[in-house]
Amino acid sequence: MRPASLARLVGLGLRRDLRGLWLSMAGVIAGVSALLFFVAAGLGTSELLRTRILPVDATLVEVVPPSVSLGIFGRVEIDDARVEELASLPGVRAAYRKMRVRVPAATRYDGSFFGQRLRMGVEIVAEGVDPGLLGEEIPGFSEGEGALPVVLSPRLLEIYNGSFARSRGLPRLSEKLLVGFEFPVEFGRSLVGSSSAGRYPVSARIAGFSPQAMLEGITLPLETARRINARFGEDDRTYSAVVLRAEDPSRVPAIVERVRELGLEVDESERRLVRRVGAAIALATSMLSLLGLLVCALASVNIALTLGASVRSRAVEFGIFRAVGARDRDLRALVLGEALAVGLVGGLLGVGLARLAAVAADAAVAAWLPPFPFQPETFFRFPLWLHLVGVGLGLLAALLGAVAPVRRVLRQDPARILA
Amino acid sequence: MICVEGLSRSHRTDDGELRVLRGISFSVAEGELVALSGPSGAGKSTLLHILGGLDRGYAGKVEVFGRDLARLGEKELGAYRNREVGFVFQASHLVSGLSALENVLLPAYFGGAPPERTRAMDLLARVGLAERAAHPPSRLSGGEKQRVALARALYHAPRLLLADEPTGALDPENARQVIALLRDLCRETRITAVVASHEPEIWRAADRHLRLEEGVLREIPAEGAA
Repeated sequence: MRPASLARLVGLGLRRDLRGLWLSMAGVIAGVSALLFFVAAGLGTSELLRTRILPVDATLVEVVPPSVSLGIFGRVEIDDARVEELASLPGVRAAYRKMRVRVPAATRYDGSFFGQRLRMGVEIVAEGVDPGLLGEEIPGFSEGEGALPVVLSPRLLEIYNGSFARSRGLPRLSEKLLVGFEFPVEFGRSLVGSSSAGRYPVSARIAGFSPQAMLEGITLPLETARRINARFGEDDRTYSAVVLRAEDPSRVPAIVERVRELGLEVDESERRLVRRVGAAIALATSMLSLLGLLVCALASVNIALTLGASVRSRAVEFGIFRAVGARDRDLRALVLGEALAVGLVGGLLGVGLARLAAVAADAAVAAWLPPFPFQPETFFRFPLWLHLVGVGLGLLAALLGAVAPVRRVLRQDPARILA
Repeated sequence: MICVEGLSRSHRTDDGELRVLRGISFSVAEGELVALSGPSGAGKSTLLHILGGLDRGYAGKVEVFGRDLARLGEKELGAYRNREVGFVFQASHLVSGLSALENVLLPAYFGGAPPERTRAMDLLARVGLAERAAHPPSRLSGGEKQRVALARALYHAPRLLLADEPTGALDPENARQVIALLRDLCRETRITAVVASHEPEIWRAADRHLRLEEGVLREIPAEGAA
C-alpha cells in the first residue's frame, strides 16, 4: 500500500469517530504530560542540588585523619611526608593541603554596610588551603602584608541573600559587589571568652568566591593559617585534611581504597548527603512518574476500547477493502496507522502541555512564594531525550492499544460480512 | 477459464452444520456472461465469494484462469482480488467519506501502482456519472451508487466480474438501467461474468443460466432452445 493511500484511508478512519478520537488522545496527552512534568521536575531539582546547593566535584577526594586511632601505633597524622605519599598515589593528579586555624575567632561589625547600618557579632571558623584548590587564580589570595585575603563560598552568599538579608532588611549582594569588602576579625577570641595566648585582631578582605571554599567560615591562604597557628603556639605542622584531585572520576574508587589502606579516612559527608537527597528526589520522581505511566496504561486500554468499537462499526468497510484486494498487512497498517496517529499527536500535545505546566509552576512559585536560598529560574529540565521519550511513550501506548483491534480486523470474515 | 469440481461448503449454525453447496461442478468459458439464480439462501453469494477468493473454507477444486484458488497464498490471493476480480454487491457498499471518484479508485489504494484518476473518470463517464465524481455516496441515488460500484469493479480491467444481486435493492427503472449497463459492459470488454440475480431480464441477457437449489446446481436451457 502506498503511503499516500494509507494516509488518505487513515485520515478517513479517524474522522469516522471524532469523539472517540479525542477521548483516546486525551488519555495519551494526560499520561505523557504527567510523566514528563514529574521527570522534568526531578531532573531540574537534581541539577539544582548538584550544581548549586551541594556541588560535588567528582574528581576530588578529601582525606582526613582517622577519627579513632589505635594507641599502640600512635595517632595517624597528615604531615608533609604523608601529603607527598598521597600525592604520589596512582591516579592522583594533585594534592591540596588544608589546615584549620586552631584558635577561636570572631568578628564584630558595627558600621555602614552597603548603605544600611549593621551591628552584629559572629564566631568564625577559618581554614587555610593551598590556593590551587580554589581552581581559577584569585588575585591577591596569598600570604603577605596588609589585610588578610579571604575567599568565601558562593553558597554562603546565596544563603545570605535568600534568608539573612531578607529577615534583617539588608540589601541583596553580588559576588562582584563584595570583592574588596573589608571586615574585622579577631583571632584568639570568641564571643564567650579569650585565648590565654592573647588576641590577634586583623582586618580581612574578601578576595573572591570559590565553590571549594568552606561553607561555614572563611578560607585563607595555607601559609596564613600556619602563621596564625604558630603565633598562638598551636600545631602548625600537621594538616586537617588533604584534597586529592584524581585524573578522572573513574580513578576515585581505587584512590579511596589506597587511602584507607594507609590508615586515613575519606570525608564523604557531603557526597553522602548529595547521594541521600538525590535518592530521595529520585524516589519521589519515580513514584510520581509511575502515576504518569499508569495514566498512559489507562490511555492504552482506552485506545483499545475506542479503536475496537470503531473497527467493529466499520466491519463492512474492512470487508470492502478485502474485496478490492486488501491484504492482512494493509488492514494491519490501517488500524495501526490510526492508533499511531493518535499516539503521535497525543504525545506531541502531551509534551507541549508538560512544558506549559512547568512554565505555569515556575511562575506560580515566583509569584506566590517569598524568595528563598538557591531559588532557580526554573525547577524543571527538559532535555531533548525527554521530549523523545514523551512522544515515544504516546506511540507505545497507541501501539499496545491497537493490538486487540488489529487482531479483531484480521479475524473478520469478509464473506459473511458482505453477504 | 473457470473450472469447479465437487465444490462443497458448509456453515456451522446453532442448529448444527448447514450444507450450502453439495459437491457442485461446472465450468465457464472466457468471455461468457453467466446468470445464477435460485431462492434466497441457496448458496449463490457463497459461490460468488468462493470464486472471488473471499471464502476459502470449502472442499473441492476451484480453478480460475488455470490457478487453483486453494493453493494461492495470502499475497497472491490479495493480488487476485485486486487485479483479476471485480465485485458488485447487492448493497453497493461504497465507502462513505470518499467521493464517487475515490470509490472508483479504491482498488488502486491496495495495488502497487499510483491511482489513475483519468481512468476512474473515464469509467464514471461510461456509467453516466462523470458530473457526480466529487459527490459522496450520501448524495447519490441507489441506482447511481450501483453504477459507481460497477465502475469500481472494472477499475483494474479485471478478467472476472462477480455480481451478487446487483439490482436487488433498486426500483424497476434503475434496475433496468443497471442491467443494460452490465450487459453492454460485458459485451464491450469481453469480460467473463457471473451474475447472481432474480431478474429474468438478466437471465435473458446471459449466455447461460445456472440455477442453484438446495446446494445443487443445474443448467437452465436458454429460452427457445430445444
